[in-house]
Amino acid sequence: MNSIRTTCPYCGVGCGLQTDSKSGNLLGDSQHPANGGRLCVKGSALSETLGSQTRLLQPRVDGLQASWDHAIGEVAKRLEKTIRRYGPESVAFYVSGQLLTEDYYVANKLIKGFIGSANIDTNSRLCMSTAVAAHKRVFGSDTVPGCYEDLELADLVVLTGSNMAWTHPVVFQRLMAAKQQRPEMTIVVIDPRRTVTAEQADLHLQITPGSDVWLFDGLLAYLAMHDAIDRQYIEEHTNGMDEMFMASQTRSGRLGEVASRCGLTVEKLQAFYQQFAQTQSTVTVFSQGINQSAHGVDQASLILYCHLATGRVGKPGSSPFSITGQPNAMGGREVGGLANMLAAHMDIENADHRELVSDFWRSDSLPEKPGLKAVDMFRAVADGKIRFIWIMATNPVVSLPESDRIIRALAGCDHVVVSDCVADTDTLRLAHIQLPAAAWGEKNGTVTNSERCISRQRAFLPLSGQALPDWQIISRVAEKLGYGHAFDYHCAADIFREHAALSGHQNNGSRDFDIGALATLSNAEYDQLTPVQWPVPAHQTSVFLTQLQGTSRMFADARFFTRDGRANVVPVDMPARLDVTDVDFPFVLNTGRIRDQWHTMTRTGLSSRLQRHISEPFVELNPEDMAELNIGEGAIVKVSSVHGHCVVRARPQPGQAVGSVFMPIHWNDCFASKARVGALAPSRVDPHSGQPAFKQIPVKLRAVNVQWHALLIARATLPLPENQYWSRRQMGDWQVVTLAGTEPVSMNTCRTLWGEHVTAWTEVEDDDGEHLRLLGTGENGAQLWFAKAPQPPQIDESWLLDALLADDAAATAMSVPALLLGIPADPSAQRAGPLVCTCHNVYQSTVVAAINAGCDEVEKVGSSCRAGTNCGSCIPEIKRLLAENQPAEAEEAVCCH
Amino acid sequence: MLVSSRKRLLIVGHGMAATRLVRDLEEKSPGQFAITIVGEEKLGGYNRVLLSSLLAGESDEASLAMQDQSWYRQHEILLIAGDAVSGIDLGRQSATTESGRKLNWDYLVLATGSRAARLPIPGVGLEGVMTLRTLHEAKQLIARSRDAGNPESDKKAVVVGGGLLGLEAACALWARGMQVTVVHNESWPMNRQLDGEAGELLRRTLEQRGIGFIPEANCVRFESDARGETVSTLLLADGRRLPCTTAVMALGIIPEVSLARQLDLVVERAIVVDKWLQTSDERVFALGECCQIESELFGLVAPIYQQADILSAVLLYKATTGAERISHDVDDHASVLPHYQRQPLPTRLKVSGVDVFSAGMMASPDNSAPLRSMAMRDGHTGHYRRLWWRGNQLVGAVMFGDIGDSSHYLRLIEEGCSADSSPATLLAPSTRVAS
Ligand SMILES: Cc1cc2nc3c(=O)[nH]c(=O)nc-3n(C[C@H](O)[C@H](O)[C@H](O)COP(=O)(O)OP(=O)(O)OC[C@H]3O[C@@H](n4cnc5c(N)ncnc54)[C@H](O)[C@@H]3O)c2cc1C
Ligand code: SF4
Repeated sequence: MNSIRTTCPYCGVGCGLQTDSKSGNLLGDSQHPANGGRLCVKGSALSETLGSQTRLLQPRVDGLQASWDHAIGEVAKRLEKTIRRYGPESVAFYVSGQLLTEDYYVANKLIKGFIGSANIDTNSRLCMSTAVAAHKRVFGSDTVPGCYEDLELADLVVLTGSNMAWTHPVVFQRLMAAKQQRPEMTIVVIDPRRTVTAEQADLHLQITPGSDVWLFDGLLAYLAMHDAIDRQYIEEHTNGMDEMFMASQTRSGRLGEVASRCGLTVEKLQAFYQQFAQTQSTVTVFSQGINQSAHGVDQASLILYCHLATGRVGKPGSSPFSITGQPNAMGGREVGGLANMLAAHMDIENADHRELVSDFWRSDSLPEKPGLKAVDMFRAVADGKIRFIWIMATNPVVSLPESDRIIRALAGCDHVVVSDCVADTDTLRLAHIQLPAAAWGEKNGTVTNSERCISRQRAFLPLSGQALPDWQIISRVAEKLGYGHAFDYHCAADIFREHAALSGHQNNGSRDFDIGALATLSNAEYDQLTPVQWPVPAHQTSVFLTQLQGTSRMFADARFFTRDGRANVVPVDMPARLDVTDVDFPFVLNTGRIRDQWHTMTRTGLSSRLQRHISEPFVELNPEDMAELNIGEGAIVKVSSVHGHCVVRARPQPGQAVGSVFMPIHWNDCFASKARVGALAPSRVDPHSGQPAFKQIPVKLRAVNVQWHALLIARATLPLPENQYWSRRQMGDWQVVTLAGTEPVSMNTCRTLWGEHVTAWTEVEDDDGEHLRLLGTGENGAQLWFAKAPQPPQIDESWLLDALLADDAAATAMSVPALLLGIPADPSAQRAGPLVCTCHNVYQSTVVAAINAGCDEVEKVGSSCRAGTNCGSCIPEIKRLLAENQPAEAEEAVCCH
Repeated sequence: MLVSSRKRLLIVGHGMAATRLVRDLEEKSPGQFAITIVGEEKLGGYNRVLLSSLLAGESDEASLAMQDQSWYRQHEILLIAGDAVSGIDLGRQSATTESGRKLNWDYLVLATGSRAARLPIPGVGLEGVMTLRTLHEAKQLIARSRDAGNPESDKKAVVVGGGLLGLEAACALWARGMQVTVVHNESWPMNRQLDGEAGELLRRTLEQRGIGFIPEANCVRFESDARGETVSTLLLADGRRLPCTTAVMALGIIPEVSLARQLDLVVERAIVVDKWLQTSDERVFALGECCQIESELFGLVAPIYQQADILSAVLLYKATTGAERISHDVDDHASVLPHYQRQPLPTRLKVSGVDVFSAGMMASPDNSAPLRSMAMRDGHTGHYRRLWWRGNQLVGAVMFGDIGDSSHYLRLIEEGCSADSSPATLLAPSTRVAS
């Protein structure tokens, strides 16, 4: 077996993987520039998520299985019908940073170039659009100037709004390794939560939620006032910096004021400002904490301004660095898969760009205005303005704010098409047409990581069922619509070449994104493409593939992609009020990822290993708040906002500031009774980027008066008692469901609910049904296991799952109590065979062992193992065993006869 | 040591208690006493517990012996078998036997055990109406069941009493090929040791073997065959007639206290002794099924063996120190000597293929605070267990089928350590014992 190299499908680090040529296992690719062989826990559990048990394997139309021809025909027919009746604006694609660049390119080309609608937006809107908008506003292009290596080279690394240790683990590992090499390097973490990342920082600024904007405004003022700026750089390469300095100094020139706005001590604030001012080699990494805010673009811009003011852009170890969440958020930006972009980093509102792209695509229907951004797009669905929506590789019912409204919107939409690789998501449940997409490991293409590195994803598995790569699905629909000539792709490489060619088309250094050099790759060269950081302009065409030179850093020459080549420093609006809470909703809810889960868990949810870290939806809050609200550890809590509510488990977290709480974004209706954080989030968006403010949601909390806690482990998805809390996860072949309830649930209810495949029940029950345990067995062994108690049942889950799997009809009765308890039997309680002597608790195996060791009489057995020495009632049994276990010599004698 | 200087110890009754006592005495201090044992049975000193398995054909007579005859000789213990003590003179410190032997003693131990209870109804004297207490009776029963396995035979047995002994006898006779019906005056077998659910499981197991079980039955009389000598039917109050060629009454035991009464020792339901086994006369002791400590009566060997251990120590102590009555007031005695401690008595049915275990209580004795219980039922194997708690203390256990954890429950009940009423105590008692 040849070793195949590919790229991790999860976070924006974009680690390289390779299959082990002997075992076929997935390992870190030591030659990949992003990770050099490292993997985080999600990446290393990838092999566990490749099973086909939860995959969508066949197209379905209106609830019925369908052939591809029929399904494609229906998509095309409904699209055409909608366009004919309501115009192209009534059609939308909602796509994803999980798509490969090639898929993305084709989707964008179809809707913008041929359907003539700009209504394509992506879940990157929820994650990167603020950084995009800030980059474009300041640099004139969506360019991340630096690279991962800069974090290793820097003397000061500022992480703001990033729990990097969990969200971008491998970059964090690289950072920590560098820190170990050069302990003098300083790491500052700015985060309202004391995250694992913050715990490892030299300085943690635990700021008031949302106050980053003041912190960086104050920093800019401080730099100006302390003359810690690069005058020459500012004069030669920026516009508007001095006005900005003025404004910042007026607003944020007094340390004390800024400190109190940010909830910090003056000393801490000053320490940070001083460090920043003094350290030339500084990298500021920003992520969701900055982006997912109602003033995200302004605060991201301020970060860029601080770096411009000090001339720290695109230099080794010195740059602002926006780190992306998704594996291919960058690729999506490159192809223009956002409503306000066109293609290849060109602008939809720029007539020259439109002409260029029209020309290149040979289309005459390019829209002239941006389409609807995610939140507005779904509002338009709700309002009936959008009547056809095609959702690809994303789960907006879970991820968008006010997600209960999204459900209603989709439920009322004429045509909902969903392409996905798994069979059940909250969004798929609302689809009229379901299209099975190829999954990671089955498809070919490219992704771009946070440092502009284009890296191949390669197939190492056959397609599952009837699944097809997204680009093929889209191209087939395009063909059906009559655009076959423009979508005549035979392989991913065809698309990539076209995409590369477009990026280089009439570029000549006028646009940042140029990979013209890759437009002439042969199929074989595409297959061998090694990771390369764009831009890779066409003048490298003559160079052999192996010597392709990527670009580690941009803007080292301080020439930006603005009209005059200078960075634009535009004024920012400071928020009038930071505090979003009021008497009714007195807590600020912050949301984010946890280490071992990815997005809405459709894939990471399949790995038992990844479920062990944190296996239930939760809300973290400060122990002081817990005491105040009378919420115990592990209690079930109702978290409500104006828009909806969630029911999750409470976890004490001293690192959480008093008055602010945290919830993970991953859980959804497929995995929990009510844990969609999106249901709580308001549709408050940044005015420039349209990115929702997920990090500051006003909420209230109340403990649910739970009577019982339970755990259900089952082979199949079982119906659950109604109106109770539950959270589900997949552990190999088993589903594990945690439950809690306010209403009593009886043994009979359980048996009735779950009895279908059960032929025998083994159970534990007490007088009032407080404690219940159930083991249901069917023809092929254990079917389900259930435990209910006033407190959460404590079990050894991995042992139990193994034991259940091993438990077939022949399982010995001896293991049943341990099985019901869910904990391996105490080794000192080793038992084998039936009990012989009750008085001294001696088992048959022990007696037989004594006999085999030479005890040939009852008395000798007794003195060896005490069996039969008290009441003597087991003596006949010992005798029988003596007779049955004749010494070897005696048997031989019989044989010789 | 001169023979004459040894204290004379007379033991009345040669059952399990007596046998264990002399063994303990000889182990602790060989030859300390000049011991005489008078036993009414022809062959004394056997393991009575094994009579059920002898009857079932699972043990032979030889394996019943608790000590070889040679052992008694070696230890110079005088055995008088097949003779009963009929009179005792406390003043003279002597005893007479039925055959007229006269024996003198310094210390007297009553180990007369108990007799099987019999139904107070007409016909109990008929041939074939029996009890199972002695080796002799066991052998008679074996003889009565002879040829029962033969296809032409229609030997039928009725066992009156569905307690431990009754069920063991029923299964033993069944194993010998008889058609057996158990007649019981309560709703389920072993109702003292088992809760209704376990009792029901036990009943079903018996019935699956073909052993009939008639609950809530009242016996009216045994009726005889035409010749008027041998039993032929048992008439029940509801009019049913159960044909039988043999009837075994297994109704419980009556302590054998006739000698003690003669002596004016304090006797209630049995001979009253203190926790050092002393009767109201400081030279006379009693142990085994004939004695009672506080209100506790005995019917199993485990506490009797404990008594033998204590009594041997007490006797040796008295003989060597010349001490008088042992009591709490005399600290040094009480502290060096072991004394009787009540222990929970587990019961286990000795029927091959039927494992039943029970210990402790199933209901609150004073009804003040009801007990909490929790059960496990295994639908695959039909196994069942149930525990009872008072507060955080385990007080009772019943097991049917798999009785593997019984000794752990027993320890938890015995030690009274806290074992919460949780599935962990029910399902993994060993972890609780350890902690
Ligand atoms: C069939 C059967 C099965 C049993 N199974 C079990 C079991 O599984 N587990 C358990 O713990 N227990 C069991 N028991 C009970 C146990 O055998 C008795 O608890 C035990 O034998 C009592 O011992 P003991 O010495 O007090 O009385 P016994 O063993 O009855 O000994 C008393 C002896 O004294 C003799 N005697 C009475 N009066 C006189 C006199 N005046 N002079 C001389 N001798 C006299 C009697 O004939 C008898 O031999 C069983 C009993 C029976 C009958
Ligand atoms: S999840 Fe991110 S850090 Fe982890 S292996 Fe994948 S790309 Fe690397």
